[in-house]
Parts: sequence; structure tokens; C-alpha cells
Amino acid sequence: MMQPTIGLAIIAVSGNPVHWEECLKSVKDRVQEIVIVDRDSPDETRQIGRQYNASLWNYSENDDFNVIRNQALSRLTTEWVLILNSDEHWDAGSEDLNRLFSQYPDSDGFYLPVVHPAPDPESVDIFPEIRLFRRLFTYRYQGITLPSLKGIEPQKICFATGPGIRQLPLTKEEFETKCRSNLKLLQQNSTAEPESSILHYELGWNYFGLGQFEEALSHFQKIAALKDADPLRTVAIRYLIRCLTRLNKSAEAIGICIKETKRYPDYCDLHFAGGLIFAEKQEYQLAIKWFQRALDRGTPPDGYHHTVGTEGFLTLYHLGYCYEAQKQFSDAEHFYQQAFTSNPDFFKPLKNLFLLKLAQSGPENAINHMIKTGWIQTIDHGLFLTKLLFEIGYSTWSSRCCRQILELYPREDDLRVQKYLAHYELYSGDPAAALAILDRLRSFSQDVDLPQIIDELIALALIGDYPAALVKSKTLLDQHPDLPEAWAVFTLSTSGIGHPLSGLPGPSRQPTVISSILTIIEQCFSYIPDGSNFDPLRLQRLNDLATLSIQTLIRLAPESAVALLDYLTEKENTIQKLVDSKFNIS
Amino acid sequence: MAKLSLCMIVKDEAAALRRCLESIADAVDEIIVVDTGSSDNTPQVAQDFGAKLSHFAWNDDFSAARNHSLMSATGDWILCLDADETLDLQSKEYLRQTVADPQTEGYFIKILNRLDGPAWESVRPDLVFRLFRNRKEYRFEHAIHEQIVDSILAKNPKAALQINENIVIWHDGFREQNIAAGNKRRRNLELLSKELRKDPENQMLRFHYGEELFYQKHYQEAIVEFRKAAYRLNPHVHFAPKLIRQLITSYILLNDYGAALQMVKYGLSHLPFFTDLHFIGGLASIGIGDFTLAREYFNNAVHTPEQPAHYSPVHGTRGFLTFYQLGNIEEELMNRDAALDQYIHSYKDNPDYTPALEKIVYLLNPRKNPVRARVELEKINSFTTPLRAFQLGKILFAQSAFSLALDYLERAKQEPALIPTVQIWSGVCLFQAHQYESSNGILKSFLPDSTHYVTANVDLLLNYWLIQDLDQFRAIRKILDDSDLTPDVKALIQTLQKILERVNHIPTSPATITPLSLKSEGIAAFYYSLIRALDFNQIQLAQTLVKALAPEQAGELAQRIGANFQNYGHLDIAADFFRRHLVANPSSSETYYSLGQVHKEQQKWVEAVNDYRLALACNQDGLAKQEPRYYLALIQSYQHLRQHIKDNALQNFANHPHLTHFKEA
Repeated sequence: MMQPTIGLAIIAVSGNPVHWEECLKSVKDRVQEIVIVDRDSPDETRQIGRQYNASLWNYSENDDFNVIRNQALSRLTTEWVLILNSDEHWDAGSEDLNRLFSQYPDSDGFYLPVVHPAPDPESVDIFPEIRLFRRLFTYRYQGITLPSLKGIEPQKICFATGPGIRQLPLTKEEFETKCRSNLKLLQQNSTAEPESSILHYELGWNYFGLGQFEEALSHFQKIAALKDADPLRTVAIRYLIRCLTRLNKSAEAIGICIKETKRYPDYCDLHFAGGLIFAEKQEYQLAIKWFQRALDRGTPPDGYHHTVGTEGFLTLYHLGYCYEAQKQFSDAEHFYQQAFTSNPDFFKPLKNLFLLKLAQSGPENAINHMIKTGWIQTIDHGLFLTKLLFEIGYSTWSSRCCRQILELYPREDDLRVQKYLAHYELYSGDPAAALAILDRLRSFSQDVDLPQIIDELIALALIGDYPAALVKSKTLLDQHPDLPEAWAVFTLSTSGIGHPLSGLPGPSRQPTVISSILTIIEQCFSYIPDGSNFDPLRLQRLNDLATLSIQTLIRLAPESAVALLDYLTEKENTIQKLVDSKFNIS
Repeated sequence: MAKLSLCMIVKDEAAALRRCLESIADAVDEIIVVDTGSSDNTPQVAQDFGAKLSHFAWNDDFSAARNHSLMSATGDWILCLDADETLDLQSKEYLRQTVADPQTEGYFIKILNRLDGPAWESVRPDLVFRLFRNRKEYRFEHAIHEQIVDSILAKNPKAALQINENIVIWHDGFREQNIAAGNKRRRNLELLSKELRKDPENQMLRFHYGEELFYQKHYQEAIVEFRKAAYRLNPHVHFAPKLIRQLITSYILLNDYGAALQMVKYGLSHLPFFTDLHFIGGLASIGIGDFTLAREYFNNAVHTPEQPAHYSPVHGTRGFLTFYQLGNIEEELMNRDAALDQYIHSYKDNPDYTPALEKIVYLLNPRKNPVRARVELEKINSFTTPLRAFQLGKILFAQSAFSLALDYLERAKQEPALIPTVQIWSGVCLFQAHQYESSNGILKSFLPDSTHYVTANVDLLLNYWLIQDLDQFRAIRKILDDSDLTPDVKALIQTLQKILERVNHIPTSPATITPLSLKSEGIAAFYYSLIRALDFNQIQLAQTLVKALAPEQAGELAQRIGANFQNYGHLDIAADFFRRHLVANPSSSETYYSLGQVHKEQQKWVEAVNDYRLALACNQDGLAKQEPRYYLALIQSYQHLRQHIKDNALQNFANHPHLTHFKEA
């Protein structure tokens, strides 16, 4: 069967050249024509469009969404039209598209899943939108505020589970800028259709994105008051619940969960939302019931706005968490395992399970358990664990774990792992080993990164070779006169040699330098030897460096002494909090 | 008068059967013994007591055999006993009165199970249904844990069944030796699982099945059975209290304290006055680190009323065992005085409970404060009887409070059996107080035929070692070389001699001392010699002695060696030993803690912070005990470190507003 021709209409919403490139590259092989409607993008960006043989058209400041889109449609000559925003990515091969056409030959349009980053950072929201349709002159965008395709009969539109369109990840600033500019556009045009659900939805969504939950709430409540059948109602309910939770109105939120799950029993996202609220209130038994129901419901039918994972890995993870909170550890492990199996790119269960195992059976068993039960599927899983270990203070275990991972993945990314390894060795109180690794790294690549140079300086201080540390820190300061870590080592080695601190130049007393010395103390107070060998010398070295650092801060300046006292008070408070959380002692 | 038949089934239990029948023969009118295939003279014993003896081929079915015994009974009432049981002497009269009651069809009577273990927890009471009217429709059911109650109630639903705790049976069968001897556990498990296949709904059988798994330490599997048995169980059936306690205990043994606590709550909702549940609730609370809740449970436990026998209560949970746990909690939270109070409660509740007295003595530190310790101890108990005085003297001696030990050992001499031991210990105490002549005199007074001759001479040998009298040492060593001391103790003695020779610069002695590798007796003798040397302020001898250990063994023993040096104030030496111990055992929390205690005494706060922190870090193992004192000690050393910094910084930058402000805060 002949495949229909497709024309791509790109609406430029971002002038970011990377976005354009990604967007065009992802789809170029499947489309025969490309039109980009743009305004104010830099030349560099527009040049990328030209490279892909796209025809570029400008829209004016006063055009609304429909005008812009219809403009794009009218420039295309193909049988079908695919609509993308310039910050989106076509997430499939052409095979998927051909299968779609042959499966629904009579269809005139498709709802495609558009994947957005969700408010939960590790998940995504999937919103079905009509993005692929037959190019007929009767199918045009109408309505004044927001693009909605009119003229197409609902029964001629099918829901497709794929191929998908993926929103490219935005930085927080990019995201907020986008929300603000959306709000501006929406407010300009809102008078025409003040009560349309899509307007309220867009307003609510953008307010939510900016953290203005009260405003967002009022718009979502307006949609919630509409008929069940309104296509935006289900997704609005979810945002309504999120707003209420953020505003600490969990009782109200639960009320809505109960009411709306009766109305939409198949909507796993709502059951999940209820579970989250109960879990936050530490009502774990109830939370488990809600999460279990979310799992039982599975992926909701077409047409629901669905957060991927609420039917599976996210819910499984939260179930694990609830069981862990109740100290039912074998059940917790079971669910963490399932969550990880259904999505190995989701690291949270990996973290929780590892910390749980660590608490239950110590680092050696925990590491072995993770390796044996298949939790390390990529080198990144492994490095993730070493970082966790290091943060806890198991620096020697980090290096051991690093070595085990190198054995599992001998050829991959050796240099990257070695950098971690040097850092771990250093704060395991073995500066000689760290220096040896750093030397070897040098022999592989000429440009050694700053963190590695600083590790080298601290290694010299740990060895007690203050003269060498002094010389090297001076050299480093020549190249980077503002580097606090270099000043820190410079000050420490001056103090270590026994020179007076009163004559030191001003920068050595700057808050950033003081805090960098405090970081060194913190590392010396974090070391935990591994289970197979305890070397008193390592502990001795770290004790000595900590003592030197403390003596230095006492003598350096009143501010540094105060900062040190603040730091130690903070340490003490942390332990006190730990006591309070771990024990109930009155 | 109602006629009473004793019905028994036996196999290869001649000795036990004799004991049983001696206790009961004159209290019953008829003895029926069914032998299920003995190969010893069990049948003969039965006949000696005039029993009606019959034989029954064993078919793995206790009920069949029991019912066979009932067939021959002609009495109005039947009492069933096992050969490993005896009737309590005082129960005979009650037995007669009881069967005279015309209204009742059967009785639950009290059984006292003797258990292995220390004296204070040797007996566990329970209720069993063993006395009932002889009616042919009342027959036993189930191949194992055979029961007749159900059968009586099935035939006669209104039958009046009563409890009579005045009739008491003693039972020896729970002792490990008896259990191991007959492989009874495995056999029971097989029979029970067979029975359960026939009658899977039977909750009591399932409970017994769980119990057998529990005794074989298959706790996970036991929990599954217990939970099935507990499902929709009427909480008033006689085995319900035991079931819930076993279930919770299984969780505790698996360190699943959360589940244990949930079950405790559930159990207490039905059995609010069950002491053992409060007690176990306390243990589980400690497990999750909730010391406040633990105190609550334990305090409830000591305030519960006297327990009915069918709860099969553990002796001491209403008193000394619980007070002891409360003492542990206070000690852990570094509340020394409160801990002392609780241990005193414990000891007062049961002066035979030696662990409590050991803790009291430890907390009073009588080696350093003998006068105050004595005053406090005398407030608790006058220790005037020889046995009490000996109990205390022994603990004091073991904790090397030699001067105070001497007083109490003196009082114990009124008990002739104790005199030899008391004399030897007194001799040691006198020596440590530098009364050499009296000490040697006492220790030399033992004659070669005395069973204490060797012990006395070992102490005499140490006396000469400590005052470095090589000639006398050699003379005593000759005696000991011919004794039955173990080879490693003899090797230790040889080393002691070489140390003396070296100290005295005897040219003939070899330059090196063969490294010592000691077994348990040798290790005990080693510590004993070390403590006596330290207490006698012979530090050089003590250090030389430790150096004589083989390196591997020195690493193993380093923690305790260090603790002894620390105890006598030799902090740097102690720290060295703790580090050595850590080299051999890198995750020993307790050793990091000890190292921290040393650095704390030396006011090395950076080191102390890292030590306590590491004690904590190594204790993150979920199976390890929750140790709040590690946290509390760490917090204290942060405070000390801050104080030290403040003082020094103020010297450098006097009157700096921020620092002065910090000082005030």
C-alpha cells in the first residue's frame, strides 16, 4: 500500500537552536515538506531550518494561535499534516507511522500521545492531542484563544498509543519563561471565550508551573464544575488535587479523590494521587490500598491524560516506600524490585532499596546483594551506588564498589570511573593511592579537570607534605586566582608548616575559603573504613587533617572561628535529629 | 467413693515410669499401662506396681494407643499421665476431693514444665486436660497431640468442664536432653503434618505444628502456621495465649520488630492483662528504638495481676526479668542512677537472679569506690547469710574489687562447703592488698589430696610471679607441671617463668619467648594473670605478658586487654590495643566506642568525634542492637569540641562580639 505524503508544520515556540535541530532531525526522514512559522528567532536558528529545506514564514505579534497554525496548514501541499512545536521531538521511526495508517485506513486524524515532563521530576505526563490529520481545507483551527481543530468529525479521529511526541527537557528558567509568556498570550485573548475549559486549563497549568497554586486552583475548580464528558475535566481534577496538596489542604484533596474515583473508576492516576496523599499523612495502610487499586486499574483507556508510571513503576515504588515506612522490609524489597524491573531508568527504587539493605546488613552485603540480584544493569546504576556510599561516608566502600563495577564493565568509561575512584581513595585516607590514579589519568589525557587538581592538593596535605601542597596551591592560584579550594589548601599548608596566619592575604579569610576548609573537615568526619581492613594510619591522617583545619580556623579570623562553631552546632543538631527520628527517648 | 483409674502409654521408659508410679500409685485405685513396644524392662516396672499391663503394636497414632488404654479402665474417672510426669505430693488429697464432684465431666489441671536453663527460669506452668469421667463415648482424637476435650464436647455439648489448679503434675519432657534423646521433635513434626493433612482446619493441631517448627528454629515457617492457626480463632480457647506469644516471639527472633509490635497490640486487645505480651512488647519496642514505648510496656508488665496457668506464663516477667530490662534501657540511655534503681528492683524481687546483682556491682564500681559501694550494697540486702555473702563476694572478686570481696567472703565461711573456695579467693584478695605472708600461708595450707590443691597453687604461683621471686616460682611450677592443668595453661605458666627470667636478666633464658596460642582455659588464666598484674601495678609484667601472645590471638583478645588497661588508667596502651582489635575486626562498634571513651578521658575531641561516629556507622547493620549511647556520646563530644574551640578562639580574638555571643549562648 502506498504511504500517504506528510507535511510537517512546526510552530516555533523557542528560539533555541538545539531545540530546532533536535526537532527537525527526529522527523526529517518521514516528511516530504516542512513549514516553520516563526517570529524573532535568531539567524543562527533559522539557518538550521534552511538546512532541512524548510520554508520559513513569519507571524506577527498580533496573531493568535489559530491564525499561526492555519497559516502553516495553508502552505503545505501533502495529503496529511503533522504538527510539532519547535521544542518537541518526534519519538518514533517511520514504521510506526505506516502501521498506523494501515491499521486505521478510514481515519482522518489521530490523537497522538504528547509527553511532557510531569510535576514529579522523575515522571512524565502524557496528553493526547490531535497532531496528525488529513490536510483538507475544511479542517482548520478555530476559536479565538487556543488552537482546537474544527470541522473534523469526532468518529473519524482515532486514539493512537504511538508514535509519540516528546517535549524536550527545559531548564527551570526556560520553563518559567515559557509559562510567563503563555500567560501573557492567554490573558491578551481571554476576553473572547472567557468560560472555555481549555482556557481555564491553560491558565491553571501555567500558574501551576510558576508555583502560584491559589490562582491555579481557581481555574481548575471551574473545569471541575463542568460536565463529566468535558475532555479536559479528568486532567484538571488531577491538577486540582495537586494544588490542594501543595496548599496543605489534604482533607479536601482526599474528598475529591474519593468522589472522582467513583466517577472515573478506570483512572489509575486518581487512585495514585489518593495514595500519595495518604502516604504523606503517614497513613500507610490506606495509602497501600489506594496504590494497589492504581495498579489493578492499569493504564487508563484512551482519552485520559495519564502520568506514565502511575499504572506501574511509580506506584510500585511508592508501595515499596509505604511498606518500608512500616518496617515490613521484605514486602518493601519486593515492590522496589518490581518498580526497578519495569523501568530501570527510574533510580529511586535503586536508591531506597540500597539504603534499606545498607541499614539492614551493612555495605558489603548490600553491594553484593545489588550486584547479585541484577540491580546493576548499566555502569550508571553502579556509579550511582558509589556516589550514595560516598555521601554516607563509606568512602572506602565507594572505591571498592567502583572497582567491582569496573570488573563488571571493564571497557566502558574507564577514565570516568577512575576520576571517581581517585576522589574516593583520597577521602578513604589513602592519599598515595589517589595520587597514583591521578598520575595515570594524566598520562592518558593532557587536560586534567580542576576537581582532580584539587584532589591532588588535598592528597598532599593528607600526606602531611605541606611544603609541596603550598607550592602547588600557589601555582594553581596563579592560573585561577579566585578558586576557593586553592586558597583553602594554601591557608592550610601555611598553617601546617607553622607559619603565622596573620600575614596571609585577604582572600584566605573569605567566606568561600572558610566554607571550603569546612568541607575538608566534613570529609574527614565522614570516613568509614571498609569491613575487610581497618588501617589506623588512615584514620590518623584524617584526624590530623581535621585537627589542622580546626586549629587553622580558630587562628585565622573571628569569622572563621564562628563559622566553625556554627558548623559543629549544625553537626550536633543533625545527630540530635537522628536520635529523635531513630529513637523515642523522653 | 468414686473409683479412679490411671491410664498410661509407655515405651522404653523404665526409669521414668518407676519415678512416675512411685509418685502416684497410692493415689489411684487402678493402674493401666499400655506398652507400645519397649525393649527395656518397662513392662516389669509396671507389673512391680501392680499395673494391668497390655501390649499395643505402635502404629504412629497416639490416640489409638491411648484409647486402647481407656478400654481396660474400670474406674469412674480416668487420669492420663506420661512416664516423664509425676504427681505433686500435695495434690493427692485434692485429686480425691475433685473426683467426688458429681456435676463435672472433666478437669483441666496444672502442669509444671521443668525447663533447662538457669535456676530463675526453670519452671513454666500450663493447663492440660487429663482428668475426665470414664465413658465409652469419650475417646481420644488425632494421631498426635491427642485430645479428648473435643470428643467429650461433641458427645455432650453441655458437659461441665472445670479448671482445678490444685492438682499439679510435674513434667520433665521439655528438657533438651530428653528431647534430643528420642528424636521426638522430628517424629512429632511428621505425625503432625500427617494429621493436618487429614484435618487441615484444626487450629490447635496447626498451633502444635507451628510450635514444633519453632523449636526446630524454623521461625519463618512457624509464623505461617501460627498465623493460619490464629485466623478467626476464638481468643478464649485455652491455647490462644500461648499461640500469640509464640507468634510474636518468632517475629522477634527474626528481628521483625514492627510485625511483633502489631501483633502485641492485637494480642493485648483480647488479653489485656497478659504479662508476657507486655514484656515482649517492651523487647520489640527496644528493637525499633522506641525506648519510651518500651518503658511503658515493661511498666505495664510488672503491674499485671497474677496469671492464670493456661497462659503458661514465663517466670519473672511480672518482676525481676522486666526490671532488669528497664535497667538495661536506662543504662543504654546513660542514666546511670535510674539504671541502678531498676537493677535493685530486679534483685530485690528475686535475689537468686544473679545478673541483676552483677549489674549493681558494676555500676557501683567497688574497685574504685569500695566504701560507698559497700554502703549502697548493704542498703539492698544485708548479705548476712553465708550463701548471700558468697554470691556477692564472688561477683566482687570477678570484678576485681578485691578489698571489698574479702569482707563478704569472710562471712561466707560459715558454710562449710564453701570454705575451700572462699579461702583461695581470700588469699588472692589479701595478696593484692600486699599482705603477702597471710596470703601465702592460706594458699599453702591446701594439701595434695585436696580437690582445690591445684587452684591454690596456681594462685600461689601468681603471687611469686608478681613479687618476682623466681626460685619460689620454679618450685611451685614443678608441682603444677605434674597436675592435670591443660597444656595451654602449662604453656602460659612456662611463659610467665620466662618473663620473670628476662626481667631478672637471667642469661640462660632464650632471647625470644615462643608465641602463646591459648584455648579457652588458657585464655581465662591469661586474663586472670593480666588483671592481677595490673591491679598489683606491675605494668611492665602485664605488657610483657601480652606481648607473649601469638599475633593473631593478640588481635582477637585486644579489645578485652585494652579494656583492662583502660580500667587501670593506662590510656595510651589501651588505645593501642583497641586499634589492634579494629585491625582484626574493622566493624566492631563496641571497640570504636571504647576508643572514644579513651580519647574522651584524654580530651582528644576530634579523635573522640570520629571514634563515636564510627561506632555509630558500623552499627548500622539492621541486625545489630540499637545503641543510643553511641549517639549520646557523639553529641557530648561535639559539645566538648565546641567548648575547646570557643576557649581557644577567645584567647586569639578576645572580646570579639560574635565569639562572646557564642560563649553566652
